[in-house]
Amino acid sequence: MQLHEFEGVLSAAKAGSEWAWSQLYATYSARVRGYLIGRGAHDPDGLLGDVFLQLARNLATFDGSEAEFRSWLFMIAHHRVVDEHRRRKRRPELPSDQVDTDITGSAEESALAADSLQRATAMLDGLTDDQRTVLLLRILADLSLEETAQIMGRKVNAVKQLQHRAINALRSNVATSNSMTTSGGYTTTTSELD
Amino acid sequence: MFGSRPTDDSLKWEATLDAIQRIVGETRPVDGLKWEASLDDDLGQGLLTMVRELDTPPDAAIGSEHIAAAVGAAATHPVAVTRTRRTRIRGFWARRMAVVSSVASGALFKVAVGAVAMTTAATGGVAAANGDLPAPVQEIVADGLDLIGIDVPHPIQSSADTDTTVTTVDDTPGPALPDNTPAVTAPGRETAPGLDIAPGLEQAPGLDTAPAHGPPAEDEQRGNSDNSGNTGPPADSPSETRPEPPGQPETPGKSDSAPNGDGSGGDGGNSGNSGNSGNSGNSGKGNSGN
Repeated sequence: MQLHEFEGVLSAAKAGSEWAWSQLYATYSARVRGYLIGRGAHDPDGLLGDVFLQLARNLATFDGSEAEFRSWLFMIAHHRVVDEHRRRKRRPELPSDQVDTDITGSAEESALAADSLQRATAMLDGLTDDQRTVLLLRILADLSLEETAQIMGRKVNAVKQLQHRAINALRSNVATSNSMTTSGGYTTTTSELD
Repeated sequence: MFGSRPTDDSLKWEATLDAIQRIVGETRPVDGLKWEASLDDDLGQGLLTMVRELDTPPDAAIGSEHIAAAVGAAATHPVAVTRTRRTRIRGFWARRMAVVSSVASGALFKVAVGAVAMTTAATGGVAAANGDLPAPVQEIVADGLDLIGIDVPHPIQSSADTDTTVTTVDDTPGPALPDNTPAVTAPGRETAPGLDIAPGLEQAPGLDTAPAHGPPAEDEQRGNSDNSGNTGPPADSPSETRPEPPGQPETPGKSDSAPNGDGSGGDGGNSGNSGNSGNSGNSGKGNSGN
């Protein structure tokens, strides 16, 4: 969405135009959903609806550029994820068969989708929650260090430090997996398990 | 990726890869980890794969629900009006109030408020206990503390205490004093010779005690003539049962000018003659009971 397009879409969305909301949703929903999944949200689709609902309620008060809008949108998403994590801490966790009961489709599709998400987030498994957040906001949401720091409520230097440690942790993981693949270490490891 | 960046799909992923390479390139490898360009390439590819898999839109049905809900919410929350000077001022005060509330919620502020409150309570308590507060305040504090059983000086009470001390002594009716209390005559008070008056008892003006010293028959006759309307009970005069103070001369008039004669009403013998103090006829009536 170009900048001049964004201004027109924003004005129409403020007026409640359906086409404008469809365009905003088509542009941002996938990345926001990916951020929610990457942060470990249990119900990413439900949270995505909450994010856009909050966006619609407060859009009349927004006045800014596309980058500011994107930063604001991911800030709402960040807050929703934090809220969900807190709720899950307070309340006992539902059994896995009761989570996402509204998923439609066959069991095979559900399994494939779950496998895809698991692969997507497997790379982030060794990272702390803050390191994950920094990487997702910087790469997936394409936010600057300052915007990321503002969303996380931290200083820019702290975000830099988190990013530094996250990238080094990923590097270390890649190096380890590469060395295991090339030297047969992975085979050795699995044979040891046998 | 968004906004000013191209929206074409292939270009979008290139832009994402650019972003990944930029971010990875900002980070130096940690000590002990050998840096290789291929390693960063692998890392970049891995991150790009992750982003691609995460960047999946929800189902169309769910998306339609979300859009409908957003359109409905936007319709109920109309476009904000253009900011006027008034809204700007409101924003100005809102910002100040936000700062004040954030300061007020700080722990240091709470400690300071607590210290000030404790100091005020301590100094106010000491002042109230000493009766040094202004009279209206002392009145309120004394009343309030009385309810919980703490006695602090009352502003009016404190000044009246000294006044009523004397008044109480002066107005104490005779019967309250034991009869064997040595009577003291106030200096300068005129009494009949040989007649002791209890302290604080004033002799009514115009009371002539001399006739009381007369013979009983004469006294009875005078009482009947002067106070013919007296209907008070004559028989229960305390002078009947009260023991005589030792060493006092037993004269008929003694009981007239002693407690019974002051007309305070405290004496049962004169209760019917209240206000008739100094009435010699009344006293004669009392004597007639004797």
